[in-house]
Amino acid sequence: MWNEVIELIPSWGVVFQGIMIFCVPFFLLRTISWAKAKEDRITTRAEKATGSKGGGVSNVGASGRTSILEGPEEQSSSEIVTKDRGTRITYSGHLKEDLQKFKELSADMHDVNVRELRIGSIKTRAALLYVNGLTDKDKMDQNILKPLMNAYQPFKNMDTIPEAKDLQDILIHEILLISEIELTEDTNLSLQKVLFGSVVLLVEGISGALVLSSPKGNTRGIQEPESEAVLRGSRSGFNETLSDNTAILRRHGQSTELAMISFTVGKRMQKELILTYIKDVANDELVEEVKRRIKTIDIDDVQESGYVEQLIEDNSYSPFQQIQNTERPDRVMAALLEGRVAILIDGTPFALIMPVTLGMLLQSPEDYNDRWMVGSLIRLLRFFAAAISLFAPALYISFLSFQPGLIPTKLAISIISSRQGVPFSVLIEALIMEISIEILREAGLRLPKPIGPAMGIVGGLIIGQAAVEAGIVSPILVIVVSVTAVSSFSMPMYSAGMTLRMLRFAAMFFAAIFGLYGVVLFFLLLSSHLIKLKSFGVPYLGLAVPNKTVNWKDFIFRMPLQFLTGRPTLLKPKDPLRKG
Amino acid sequence: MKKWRMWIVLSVLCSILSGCWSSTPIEDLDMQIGVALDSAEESGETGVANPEYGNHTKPAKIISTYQFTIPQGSGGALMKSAGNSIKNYYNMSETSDSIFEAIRQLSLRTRRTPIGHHLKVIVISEELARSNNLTKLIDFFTRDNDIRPSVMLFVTKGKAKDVFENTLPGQAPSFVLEGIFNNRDRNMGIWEPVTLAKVVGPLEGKRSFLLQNVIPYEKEIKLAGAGVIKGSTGKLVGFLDESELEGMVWLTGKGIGGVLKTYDPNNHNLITYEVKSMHSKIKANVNNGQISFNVKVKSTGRYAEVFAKESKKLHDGIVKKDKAVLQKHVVEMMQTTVKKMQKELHTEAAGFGTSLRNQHPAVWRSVKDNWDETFSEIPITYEVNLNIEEYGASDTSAE
Amino acid sequence: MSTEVKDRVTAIQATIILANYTIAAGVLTLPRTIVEASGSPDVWISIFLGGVISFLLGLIIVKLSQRFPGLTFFQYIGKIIGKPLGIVLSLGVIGYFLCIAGLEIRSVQEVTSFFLLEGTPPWAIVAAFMWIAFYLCRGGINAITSMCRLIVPITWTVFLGVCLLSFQVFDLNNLLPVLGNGLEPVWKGIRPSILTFTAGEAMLFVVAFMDKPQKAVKVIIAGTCISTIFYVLAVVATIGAFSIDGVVTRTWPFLDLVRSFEVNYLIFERFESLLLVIWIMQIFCTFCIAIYAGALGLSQVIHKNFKSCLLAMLPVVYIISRIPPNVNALFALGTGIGDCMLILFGLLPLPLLIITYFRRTVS
Repeated sequence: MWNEVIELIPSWGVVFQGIMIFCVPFFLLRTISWAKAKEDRITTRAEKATGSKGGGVSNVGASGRTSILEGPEEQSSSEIVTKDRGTRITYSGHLKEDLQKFKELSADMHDVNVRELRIGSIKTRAALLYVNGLTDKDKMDQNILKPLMNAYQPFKNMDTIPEAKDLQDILIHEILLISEIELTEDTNLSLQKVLFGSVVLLVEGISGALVLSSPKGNTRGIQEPESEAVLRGSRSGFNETLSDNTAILRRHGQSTELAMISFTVGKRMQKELILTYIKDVANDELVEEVKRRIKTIDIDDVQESGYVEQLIEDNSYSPFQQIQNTERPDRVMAALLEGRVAILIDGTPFALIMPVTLGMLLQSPEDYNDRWMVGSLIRLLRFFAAAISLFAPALYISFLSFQPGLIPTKLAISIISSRQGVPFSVLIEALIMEISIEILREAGLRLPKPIGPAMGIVGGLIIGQAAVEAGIVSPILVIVVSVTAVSSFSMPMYSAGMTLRMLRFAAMFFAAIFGLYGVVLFFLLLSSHLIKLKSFGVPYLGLAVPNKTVNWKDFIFRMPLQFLTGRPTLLKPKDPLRKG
Repeated sequence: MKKWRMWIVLSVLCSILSGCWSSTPIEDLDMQIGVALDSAEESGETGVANPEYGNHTKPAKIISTYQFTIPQGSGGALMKSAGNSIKNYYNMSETSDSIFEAIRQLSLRTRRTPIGHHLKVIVISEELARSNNLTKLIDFFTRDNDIRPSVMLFVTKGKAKDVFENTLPGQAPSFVLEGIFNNRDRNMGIWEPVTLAKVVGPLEGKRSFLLQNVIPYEKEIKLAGAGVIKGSTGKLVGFLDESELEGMVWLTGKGIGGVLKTYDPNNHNLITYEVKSMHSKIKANVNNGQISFNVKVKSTGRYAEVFAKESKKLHDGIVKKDKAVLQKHVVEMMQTTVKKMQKELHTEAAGFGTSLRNQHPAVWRSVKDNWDETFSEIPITYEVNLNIEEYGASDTSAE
Repeated sequence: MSTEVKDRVTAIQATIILANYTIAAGVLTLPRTIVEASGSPDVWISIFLGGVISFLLGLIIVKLSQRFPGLTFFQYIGKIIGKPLGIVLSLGVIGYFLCIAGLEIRSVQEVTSFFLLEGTPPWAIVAAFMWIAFYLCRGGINAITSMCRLIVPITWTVFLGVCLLSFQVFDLNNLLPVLGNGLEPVWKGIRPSILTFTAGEAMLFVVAFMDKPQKAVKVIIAGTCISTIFYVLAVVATIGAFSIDGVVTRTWPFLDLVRSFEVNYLIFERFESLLLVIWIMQIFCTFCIAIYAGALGLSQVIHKNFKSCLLAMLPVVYIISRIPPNVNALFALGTGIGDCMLILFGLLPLPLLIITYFRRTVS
């Protein structure tokens, strides 16, 4: 009896293994918490969003606007910039002096032109400052030069030159045929405006500059979004001009509830950012949280919305995107109507939608435009494709090198036959093919458009065929790899597809270590991660693990529209019903 | 964000710490597809038995023959051109009293690891099955982790090894044996496929059952009746020939389809009936401790071939007459089978015991220990009801 | 953190937790253990009866927990029988959960080593599994609930599908005659069925997390029904294929059932891979719930951080899982744990409930 008990006492090896099982996560956690503490010191995202820090975001709507869109924000923020620089040059009202000041500032900018003139009948000296190419010259000639020089009517009854204030009023109210006019005393700011395409008018006697907006705006027309093509649905995509983009959203339908809040981001290169949501749908807390996070953005220049995405997302170490980017206005609109919020940034056609759930990444606007059965089936197909693109090579590895007993006999025989003479292990073989496919795909992206498809054919067909003939890889693997690649293209979101592509390699390594068991473990790990992941406080898998039927109706299956009466409950919209 | 690092380090650690412990490239595996078990003593070596074992019953020496597939080399082109002429299997034999030892001895002869995942059939020779309890013979196969319980069992009247030598070119005998059960709807000489999963229960519960008998036939293999395994001993006691097996199929109603051929007793004209479905029910009656059985067989089918003196319309009268002839034939077949079981083999393998157990559990408990002997004396009555539904495209009999 | 309970689960989620906790390692072995005990094909009746009994046991625990809304067993036990005794009892319950976790993970390791990964060292199999479970459990009860909900559609579909497919080797004769040997074998079969799938202990802490604790009775009814159905299906399908004589010879009967048929011309000719996959997932859930319960208990008893307790659990569970030297000892451990369960959760809650009742009325 006693001996039996002693036999049951685990050996030192087991105790050691137990200690290792404890130690590995323990030290990992210590390292992580240390790293996180360090990171918190660097980034500002975590909890501190103070006004002065960050991209110099000012209070929205604090001062009256003189321009339509761009105005006080830019002005006030530029004040901060100039303050930072410690110099502030203002106009005096003497044209020569002012011109001199301006020329000094723009000494190394030879593309700034000066056009001197006299105003109409009073012969007051004035000067127009503009940049070649940025300014719409026709517009300038017609709407600024011509009225100024021909200005006889407004000064008809005047003998003397009017007071600066009156002159300014006359100029703005009666002469200049420009809608956006702004008055500034700051030379720096006026230079900034000139460099952005406006015309600055300096007039003798007025101690300020009139910024006349006449940018030529080399903008792209509205084109079909390239990264998210649909067969049925709107062909319009966002372009690089913020005002166009907001206009597209406004034009989607008449609503007085569509809010557009403007922010300025970027410390050195300032850009406008618009936060948009539907006032009586979006949850206030969500909007406040997004605003708070936008204010924490602290970076020189926001080149693209991807910067914003990465700077405000919840978990930057997750392989999954927690903010959706899209070129499609209809997608943005649909998201807004579900109670989400969107961010538009000047200079990029990609809008950001947040919060996002995993299900959204597999949905396409077409699902709603087509009949519901087709839409549901196609959506189901996409889920299936996602699973394939994630697990197919891993399953291939685990079945071939670990569990040959789990594949059908006939298949096993043909696989064995096809792999005779393949010199590499299954993992290496799969890695070779997968990596070359990824290279091929990357190369295809970079190549000029006419060559791209040809490249695909060369790579896909010829290399694959040659590799099989040469006995480097087995034909079955070529099938697996191509099916995987095709599946990952069926993701309606390109970036979601990329995530899957990356995770596929992790799955392959798990499979190479533990076979099928490893694949299951990988699935569990992935699920654990997704379960714990949150996007702006909304569980990322939210719709995959729905609580209510209303969320099911539009998840894998897209029920007929008459049944889609509710908005996703996870977002806690103010108005939970779409209708009725 | 904690999680992410954990991931990375976890996976890196795993890959460093581990390696691929259990992975074996599939191309280095040798797929066993069939096993044939022969008695080593069969070939006149009986006298060689070692005397030092004394009176202990020494396990019999077994020649186990393993059938493997030959991979056809890479590339579909080669396979196509080679077509069906290449022999795509090979056999290896080893002698040992332990089947496991025999299979491991193969590793002395071949580089590639034999794996049992895709084992399809086990063929046991008559000699071996008659002298050994089947439980011992299949013990390794039911215990192994690779070999699935879906492996089919066969017995053969001759040497099991010969079965594996014979086949049409391009086909592996094991696969032929496995696939032949797809013909159960065409011929009633095929018993239901008996897998390992289906024999462990009867062997443990001492119930008798049948195993399909397969014999080498010219250059091929052929199913010829069935071997009867007696439950109490687990050994083969005898064979049912093809027509007796058919009788068994009728008794148990396990047929899916097939042929029923007989001659009109009056004019010796051929009547062939194609069985489309059959159903049998064994009713156990107990009267004052006297057990009797009544077998009710129902079947539907159609004329396949009908010969007659002169061409005749197959009207109701003829159909009725033919039906009676066919029914009589079925009864005769069943009687032959039962008689063989009762008088010759003293083994009941047709499910009478099961019926008794299900219908009269108490009676069954009293007789089950001596069931085979009890059964030999039990009277059995038969009722056959055939329904000739149609006569195909021709409604007259052939001249 | 250790004392306050933030997470909330709905009644449906609680049901799913309960069902997932119950459907575990036992599915593979119950057909054998129960037939060994009763020796008759009527064991499916025993399982139904076992379900009823386990429901009754669960009911007592639920009633007990409902008297202390928002508190877990480890928190309220001290109030009933005094602090020192309460701590002893809590430690017993914690130990029980740890043993369950150890048993589950050892079963995974045994089956995986035998059928999937012959040659991989056990510690590697176990360590990877435990680390992932640890990662999930750090997310609290909500993460576990979500995981259960996520895998439920997968596992249930595959399980039912496999049972349906096994119909081709099913033979009704193996289940007949019904009650041929009278009721005695049925009684004998009840014990192993209770040992395998009593789930009441999960309610010790789940009720505290429920947003509407008054629905806990419904939860235990639904949870028990689901698990009973699963076990009945597994047992009936297995006996139908192997007959009672065959079932007792199989170590993992349900797995052998799935291995004993092939469906040609489908993508999967063989289904044990699917079954093993869902079974590992299922055990993962059970394991997570068990170590979560253990860690929660520990953190509430010694008032320490939950996550540290969770981490401390890992080596203990591992060592427990390594204690049985062979498969027989593993099954013996299973039976032993079942017996402990009967004492801990079958006999104790009733007196506790009575004490509570009287204390309430007195005060």
